[in-house]
Amino acid sequence: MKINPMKYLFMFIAALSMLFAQNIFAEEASPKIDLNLSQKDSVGEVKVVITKTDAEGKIIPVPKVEVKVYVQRTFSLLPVEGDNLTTDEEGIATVEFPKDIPGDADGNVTVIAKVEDNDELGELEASKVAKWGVPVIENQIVMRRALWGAAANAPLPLVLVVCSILAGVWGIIIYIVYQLFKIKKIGVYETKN
Amino acid sequence: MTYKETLLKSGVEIPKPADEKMKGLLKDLLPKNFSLSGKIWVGFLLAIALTGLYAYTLQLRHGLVVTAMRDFTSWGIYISNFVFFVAISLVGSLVSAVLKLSNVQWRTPLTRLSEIIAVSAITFASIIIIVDMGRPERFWHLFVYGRIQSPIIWDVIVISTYFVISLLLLYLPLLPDLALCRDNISGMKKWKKKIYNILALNWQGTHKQYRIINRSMKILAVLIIPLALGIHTVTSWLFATTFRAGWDSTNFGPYFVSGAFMVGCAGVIALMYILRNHYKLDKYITQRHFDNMGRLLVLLSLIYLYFNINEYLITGYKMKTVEGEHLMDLFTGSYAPMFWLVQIFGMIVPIIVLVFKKGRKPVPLFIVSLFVIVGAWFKRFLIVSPTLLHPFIPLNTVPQAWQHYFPTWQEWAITCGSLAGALLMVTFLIRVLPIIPIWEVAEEEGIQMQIPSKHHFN
Repeated sequence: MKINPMKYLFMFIAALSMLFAQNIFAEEASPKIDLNLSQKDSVGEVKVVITKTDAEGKIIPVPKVEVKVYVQRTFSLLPVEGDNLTTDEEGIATVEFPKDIPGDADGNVTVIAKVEDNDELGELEASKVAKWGVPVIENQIVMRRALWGAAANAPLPLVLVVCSILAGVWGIIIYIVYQLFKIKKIGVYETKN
Repeated sequence: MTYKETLLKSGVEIPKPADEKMKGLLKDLLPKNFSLSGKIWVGFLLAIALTGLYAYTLQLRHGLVVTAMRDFTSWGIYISNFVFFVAISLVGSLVSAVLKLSNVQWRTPLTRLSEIIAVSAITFASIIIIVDMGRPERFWHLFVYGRIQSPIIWDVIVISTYFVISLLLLYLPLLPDLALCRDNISGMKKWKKKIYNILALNWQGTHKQYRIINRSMKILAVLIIPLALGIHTVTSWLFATTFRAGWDSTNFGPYFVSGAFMVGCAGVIALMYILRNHYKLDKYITQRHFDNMGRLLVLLSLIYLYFNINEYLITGYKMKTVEGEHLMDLFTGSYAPMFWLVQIFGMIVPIIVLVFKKGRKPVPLFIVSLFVIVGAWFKRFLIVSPTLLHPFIPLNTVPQAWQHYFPTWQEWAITCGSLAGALLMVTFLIRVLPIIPIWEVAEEEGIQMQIPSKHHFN
């Protein structure tokens, strides 16, 4: 059996590449944020875990990282905890979720954990939905036709009155403009004859 | 060969005035070139208007922060000026409609002046409201996203409509006069003649054409009265529909309307005095006109006084919390000098002067009218700004700059620029249109108007 030296060279290069690639991935593995939501005695607990992969590819916790926990509102994020929430030696930060946060009709709220502008870790974010909010049934008053409603919910009598006045007045304006055309037409006819 | 070409080929006839009387009428009333004083006047107005325009470019570049308007005084002299323009525009309906339907014969020489004032004022009312916007490029949002429940949208609707009707009320009775300009102004440039020709809508002065004009003017005269009441009542509702000291009043509609008729009447008097002297129109605008307009002004001033008493006396009797503070600021506080000057010289003095026959002579009447006009402008300022500085929440925790309002030079420049712009528009219309309706005067004096037999396309 004839040995092909090129074949062995190729296998050697491939093995080297795999090893090299593994090292690169190990070095470039991004830090991670995990969000665990649990409930103890009807109190929601938000556990944020920050980890990273070291040079040997081992996942290790990151302590003393400032973490922010928010609840998603319609236009912005509502902070759940103050400024001093940081991870412990195990990379864990825990905060109790308030009981009085309004949720959707089913009581769902979106909990968001963030590491913001950290020198070592950069920006990290994780979010989960929990049924920890106070169910809020949409206020039907603002949905009905009323003076304080949106443009589409204007009171019908008002719409009818305004439209009738507009139609009446602009109808007359159009009639007068038509009369102007008539004056012009009469003038042309008179000139011809 | 087209119809136009046929006419051109057939030759152009210059129509001759029917008789010497008509000739005199045309000589007196056809538009005239500016004299030296006219040119200086236009240059003066242009300088003010251009300064205003420059100030507006600064406002566009840097935003409304160049004004003194802040969180509390969010409506300053722009809105005061807007209310003033809307007010003075009501005169069109007063002279062209109320006096017409009342069959007042002496109004004829004043109708065109009042319509010119109305159209110019309502045009600049619309412009100044855009100036007040932080994002003027979004002006069209008012029409697309406006809520019909909002008085602001009612105002937008009613102002647009009033503008169109005022324009028609100016234009319709102009048709015979435009034809007279087309046919009788000598040495006119071709393009000018062409514009008169287009605007005259082939006016031949036929019975049918006159019938249409008279009928249309009657319809417009009836239509514009409720609209004029509407435009200023709705403007008053911009204030009265809010729960604010000084604005929360059911008296506001008639209070605004009566004040508007008063300042509009004064505007016509001032303009007719200036034009009468400048163009030597004593034959057409007589002492009788001044006397009658003086009587009208004193009547309107008395009505306005009545609404002022209602507005201030009843509120002053109760002196409710913030309402009381607002009133005390007007009566004895920081706004007191302006308030009393406006009330005395803008209303009381005119009433006292004009009840006497001597007071209704042209010169005193003109001076009193100027008092009324200046007083009316400051009155709008007193309605708009002091209220905004009396909110229901305490002011002592807000920045110092928010607690006072004195307009910046940019605001003054823009406001004066808009006033100059409106006067420029009046001046331009006076320059190109007969100030007094020639055909109506001819009709009243029984002068037969000769109808041109052919159009002039060149």
